[in-house]
Amino acid sequence: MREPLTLARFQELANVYGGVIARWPEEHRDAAMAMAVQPAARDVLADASALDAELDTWRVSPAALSLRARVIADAPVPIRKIAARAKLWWSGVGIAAALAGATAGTAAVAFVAPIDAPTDSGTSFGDVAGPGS
Amino acid sequence: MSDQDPDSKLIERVGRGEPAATRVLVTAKLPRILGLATRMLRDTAEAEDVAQEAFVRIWRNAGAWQPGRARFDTWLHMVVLNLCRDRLRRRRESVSDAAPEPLDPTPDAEAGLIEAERERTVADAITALPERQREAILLVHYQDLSGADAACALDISVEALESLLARGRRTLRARLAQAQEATDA
Repeated sequence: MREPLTLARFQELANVYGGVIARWPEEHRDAAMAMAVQPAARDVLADASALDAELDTWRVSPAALSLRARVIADAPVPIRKIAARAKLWWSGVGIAAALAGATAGTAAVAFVAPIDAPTDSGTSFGDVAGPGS
Repeated sequence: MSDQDPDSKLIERVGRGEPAATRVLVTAKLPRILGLATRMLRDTAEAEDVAQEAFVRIWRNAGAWQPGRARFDTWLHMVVLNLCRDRLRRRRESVSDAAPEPLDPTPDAEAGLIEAERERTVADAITALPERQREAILLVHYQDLSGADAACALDISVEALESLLARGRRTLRARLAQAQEATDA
């Protein structure tokens, strides 16, 4: 069975954890709350809270949005997203290959095609106008 | 202790790569991590590096996270403490007499300057504490860890933690009173 909380132990706990009983070990909180109505205990809490208040003046700036963005960018992504990214990558490769092939084909045709292109009067079936005209 | 870990479900979801869980975790933990690292290192850029590094460790471990001896939040504090200790050790080795970086000046005029001065006095007094006392104060007062969790993060007993806290607070009280007397004189 736990020993009853004494004022001396109450003082020790305030010296350790400060003037906020909610920060004290759970097993002492109820008894401490009950004791806190006594003037001597109230003085102890006020004294400890004064130091807490001084410590609270040391504040730090909130996290920059850029840091938050960097942290989230490093986070793991779901497997289906990885698959989608891979698919996109491969389709990008496919498009690049197709474009490269098309460019090479065009260049090859331009290089080997005859310079003397048929005249405007020519058709695919020959010169319809005939040599005599 | 660990079966009641309030973060365990969230970590599982982070491990599965759920973007919403990732954002929730960053919102909940980044200010805590950054606060501890900033007070340990008193250098904003270095503290941000530590925070980012700590999250890389989270991302690496989330998929295989197994609740063990410590809660997730306690484990995270251990990671941040270790990262900060490494940096402080390297700093001591490279420039042993370097003064801590001054706090960011408050933009307001006189009232801001007085407040900044008080803040600096508290920061200096805590920085001057022996390492373990300083860590105990940071974990319990500023990070709001319970005595049991702080003791776990520092790998000591609750009784040893309470002794560190009592001595640290007693020293702080004396130093802050001295500083106040000097200001009033």
